[in-house]
Amino acid sequence: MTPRLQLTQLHKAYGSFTAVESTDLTVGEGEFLTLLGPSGCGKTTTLRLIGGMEKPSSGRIEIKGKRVDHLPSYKRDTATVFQSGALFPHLTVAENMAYGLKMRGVPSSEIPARIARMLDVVQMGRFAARYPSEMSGGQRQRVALARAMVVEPSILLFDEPMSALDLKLKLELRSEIRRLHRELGFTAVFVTHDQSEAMTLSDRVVIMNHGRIEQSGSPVETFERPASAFVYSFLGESCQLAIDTDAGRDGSLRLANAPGAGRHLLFLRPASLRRVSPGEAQNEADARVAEVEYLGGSYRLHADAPCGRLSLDLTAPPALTPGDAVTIGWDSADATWFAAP
Amino acid sequence: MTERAMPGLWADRIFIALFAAYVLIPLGITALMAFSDDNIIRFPIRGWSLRWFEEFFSNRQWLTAALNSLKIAALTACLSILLAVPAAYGLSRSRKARNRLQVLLLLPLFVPAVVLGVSVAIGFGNVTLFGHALYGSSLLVACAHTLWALPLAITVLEPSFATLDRSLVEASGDLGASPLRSFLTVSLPLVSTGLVSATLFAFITSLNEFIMALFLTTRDSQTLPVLLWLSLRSSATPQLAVAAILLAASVFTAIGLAYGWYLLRRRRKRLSAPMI
Amino acid sequence: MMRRLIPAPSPAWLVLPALGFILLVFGVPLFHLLRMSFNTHPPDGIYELSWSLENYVKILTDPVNLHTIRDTVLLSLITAVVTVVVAFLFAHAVWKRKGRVHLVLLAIALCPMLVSEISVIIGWRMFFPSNGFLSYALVETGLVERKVNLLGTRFAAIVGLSYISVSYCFLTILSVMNAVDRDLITASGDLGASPWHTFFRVLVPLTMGGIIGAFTQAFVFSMGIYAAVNALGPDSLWSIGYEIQRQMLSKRDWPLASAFAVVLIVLISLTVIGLHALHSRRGQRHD
Repeated sequence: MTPRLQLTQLHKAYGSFTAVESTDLTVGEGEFLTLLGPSGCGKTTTLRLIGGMEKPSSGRIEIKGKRVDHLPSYKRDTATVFQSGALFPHLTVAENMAYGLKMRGVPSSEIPARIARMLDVVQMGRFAARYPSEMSGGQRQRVALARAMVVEPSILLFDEPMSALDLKLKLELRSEIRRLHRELGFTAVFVTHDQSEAMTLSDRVVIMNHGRIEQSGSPVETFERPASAFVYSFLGESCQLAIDTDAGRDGSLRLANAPGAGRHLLFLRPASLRRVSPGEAQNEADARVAEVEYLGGSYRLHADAPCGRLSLDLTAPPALTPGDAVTIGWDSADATWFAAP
Repeated sequence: MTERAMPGLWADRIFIALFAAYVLIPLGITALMAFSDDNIIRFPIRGWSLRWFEEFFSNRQWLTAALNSLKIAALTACLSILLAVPAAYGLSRSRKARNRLQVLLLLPLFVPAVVLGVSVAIGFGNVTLFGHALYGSSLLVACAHTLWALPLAITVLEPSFATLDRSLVEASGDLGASPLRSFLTVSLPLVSTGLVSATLFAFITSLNEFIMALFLTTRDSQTLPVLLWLSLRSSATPQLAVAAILLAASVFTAIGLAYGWYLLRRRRKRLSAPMI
Repeated sequence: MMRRLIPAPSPAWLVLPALGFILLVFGVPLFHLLRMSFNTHPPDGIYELSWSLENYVKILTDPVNLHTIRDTVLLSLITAVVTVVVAFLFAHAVWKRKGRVHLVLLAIALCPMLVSEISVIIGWRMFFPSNGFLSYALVETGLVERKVNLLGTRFAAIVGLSYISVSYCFLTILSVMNAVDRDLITASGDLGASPWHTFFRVLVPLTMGGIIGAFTQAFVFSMGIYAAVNALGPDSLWSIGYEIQRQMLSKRDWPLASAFAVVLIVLISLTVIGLHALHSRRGQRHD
């Protein structure tokens, strides 16, 4: 079966700056795919290349097996939900929604019914006659979503649609999008820098950095089996120890299974670290307390070991002051190793 | 990206070329004609010389007119700035005043020069000041020109004062400076770019204006544009082109000087910045 | 503490000198003008004090004067339309571009604002006549066989008139265009609208406020400018402004000149008020 969207060796450069580097990506029918990464990683550029708002330097874009990379935006069967919503301020909600349908030559007799149906789906039925300026930010974003969905595009594109909303609205709209995807089964490419958004929404997460795909997989897979040091440190909190052959020779670092020769990076999540008495855990590091922070309900202990800083959370106030010696332990299964760059 | 999203790139480029030609033709052709050796204005130009420039600078009437123009423009600029600075500061500090008074202050801009010229001529035609007739004096022309220059100067200055960081003025007061001292030592230097642009606008407006001046000047006080207008049909020699090009040149020189000042100031600021 | 005891004068008072100046040099003379328009013109003098509507009757009934008013309004309307279209297209071209090209185009668009009306007139008077640049260029390139003269045509008058207001219109439209969210243009294309459709259905409606503002400016400017019309247009093309100059300076009929000036102000005010009302009624709908 042909995939809904296929990018082949897609490349985009602005002068000497490479925004997207020879990227391959396939999105299946009905899949919800998220492009995740820090700002400037090329995720938005990739989205704009798919939507036709940017022209690729080289490579192919195929939608349903048909090559589209030479087509301008208005001839592609994609629809975008913009960060700002981009609702036309001079048109009502209903007129905004009719816009795309008219452009696609939908018979005008069908248009009102399709708009009404879609407004009901996003629970905005009462707002059809309103102008964008007469609605709240969250309501505008729902309309933007409806405007993109009503044309039933082959691919729905989301350009950080929730980054301008406050936390409560963000969570509301997030579960709304999840429900809509379940009910309508559209194919979506969603761009965000917010990992919790990516984790909760997606069937598959693609993590990008410096214009390249670092890892692609299910949310659980990427979080639990990160493919690179970048992915590990980008997803969730992490502690990082730089370890070479000499590390721990003085006995301050006791590892159950040390790596071979050369420099390595040992990654640990704060949640898997605990304070131990020497000899109690599989792996241990002796460290000195740097700082204790109160986080409201729990305490975070920062301690400096010889090859890096370790942080962990404690529920009870530790009777420690900066400079005190502590031993921190972890299980071998929670440790992730990468070769040092 | 936007280029692709908008209509016909080629049509667009042709339009830009045509518009640029439209803008540049009057000045370009005048500049060419100023160096013609011919006795009359005609194309093609058969020979080049500076003779019409020499003629201009040895003709008392043209020189007097040019000096009158500069004098009136300088007077207009002074008058406009003196009135515009307190007004713009006042407007920027009082929202109520701004809403109510701004329209009133801008009103003369919407009145044609011919109406302003006629009404000032009628209103001040018989007025004498310290034994001198006001009519025909440079001061009266400058006052009339200020009717246009002042609203422009206020429009340019008001945003500069409005965006001025209030806490800087408060800090100055807190350190013991009187309001007037704060204004002179803190506010005014911070809006100096706006100040220079406003002065420039006033100067250029007056230098270029000729309908009001036509109604308000006598043979002795007439300005360069007025003399050009009066000679337009009677003496159509390349002399006209010389005078017109000198008029434009003085406008662009004024702008160049202001821009030079701006660049110099920016460079000095950048050089001194790390020392703070 | 001492400072607090003396209330600072309200900053609004600082506006007074400027306001006083405008009142003295603009308000009072305007009043004189209005008064003068009711005086009569004796054959052997400038004016005679009286309260008569004679001048207004003369303006509004004499076919020659009516013709003058009609010509002025018509020419201003055509000029305003042409100028707004040109200014809009060029503002659009500037708006689309970035960096150095943007700045160069901006400088070109602002040039006409810095050139004196008299220089504009002189420049075009060297371009349009039969021994001018246009005719020479056309004959040289073989596009026409005999010299052509465009000086003294309505076309030349409109070219000159619109040159004078085009920069102001451009600035008004560009400032409104800059406020348009560029995502809206992208969104329109994304929803399947062709560039032409986006231009007319999104960009033009969103900048309508600027278009109306620019139109008002161009119309008001053109109504008052007569030197360019007189020097570039045909002799049969009359303007209120030129009539004021003629009555004032050549015929020494101050009362009639004043009455013409009052009529001009009334026409301009009506236009500004009308267009402003149109704009604010539109604005209420969605702003």
